[in-house]
Amino acid sequence: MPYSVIPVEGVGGNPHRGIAFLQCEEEQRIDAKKVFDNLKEKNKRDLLSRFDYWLGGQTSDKYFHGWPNLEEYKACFVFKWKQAGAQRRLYGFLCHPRAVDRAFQACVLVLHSQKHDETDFSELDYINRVRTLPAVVRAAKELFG
Amino acid sequence: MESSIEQHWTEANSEAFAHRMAFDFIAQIEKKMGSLPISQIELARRLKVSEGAVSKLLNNPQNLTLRTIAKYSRALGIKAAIVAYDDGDPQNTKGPITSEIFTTCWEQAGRPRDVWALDAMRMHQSVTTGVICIGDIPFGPTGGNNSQYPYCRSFVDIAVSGSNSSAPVPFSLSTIYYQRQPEDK
Repeated sequence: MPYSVIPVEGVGGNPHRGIAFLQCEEEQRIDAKKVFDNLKEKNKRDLLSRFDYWLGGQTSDKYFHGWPNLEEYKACFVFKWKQAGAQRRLYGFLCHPRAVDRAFQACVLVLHSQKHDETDFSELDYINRVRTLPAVVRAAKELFG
Repeated sequence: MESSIEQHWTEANSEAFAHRMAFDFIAQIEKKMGSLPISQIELARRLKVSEGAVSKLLNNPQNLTLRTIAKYSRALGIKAAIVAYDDGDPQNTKGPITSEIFTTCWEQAGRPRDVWALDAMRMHQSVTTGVICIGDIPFGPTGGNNSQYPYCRSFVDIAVSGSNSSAPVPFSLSTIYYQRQPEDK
């Protein structure tokens, strides 16, 4: 399937980090960009602020986090926000797409979800399957490399 | 990435920029609440508002006012400042500098309370990072040799000799004195 990784408009990047959406017209589950594009302006700014925060090297479990203590999911990442009382999530993965600059870290956002009580690890399993696809790895390298 | 040539999202309009400023402030408030720690219920009690009002502000800070900034800061025992700065990015391609960067720089500068304290800090930093001269007496960096004044191992030795603390202390040139080191007597 044709995958592409496209930058989040308006947040830029820096020598340390970059952020982008994964897109695939044939895969409906990959909907992070579609959901983001359809957010109300206020919610979009909430998320963009979180992207800025992560890109700037800040830490805040309330706004985003990974699972560094779970070996199986340590490449997965999530941005979180509240919208009309619902806990919304954009799940994605972290990667190092630059061969000559391994310290550079990118976050590729894949899918949207509404969290209930606990994290649905089947979503992280899906992220793990997608992130290792050669076409996805190649697409990330094309954008960030 | 070609995005470095595009404008940052906060350049769209003043509401967008203000939203980001408000987000920065709330991020600091939540970090402080976590470090104290203090719950939303307790913060609401201190502010004499409902917990719902606190929750609403933390999740929807776009209508933050200066008065609210003052109230929330003081309720947590901290203070807030409005900082205008020139980061050499007039087109705003890179976005605002996060408030935490300013706070961290201020803390690393020794939390100066006024211009004199800041000057003292600058003086301290300049002498601990390079070669300096007082009058015609040259001093090398820490660990260097000085054949003319061998008992002066470094200016840093002198700078901290009047302090009982191992931490760097602010000082001015007029307060500097030096002592012979025991092995040089």
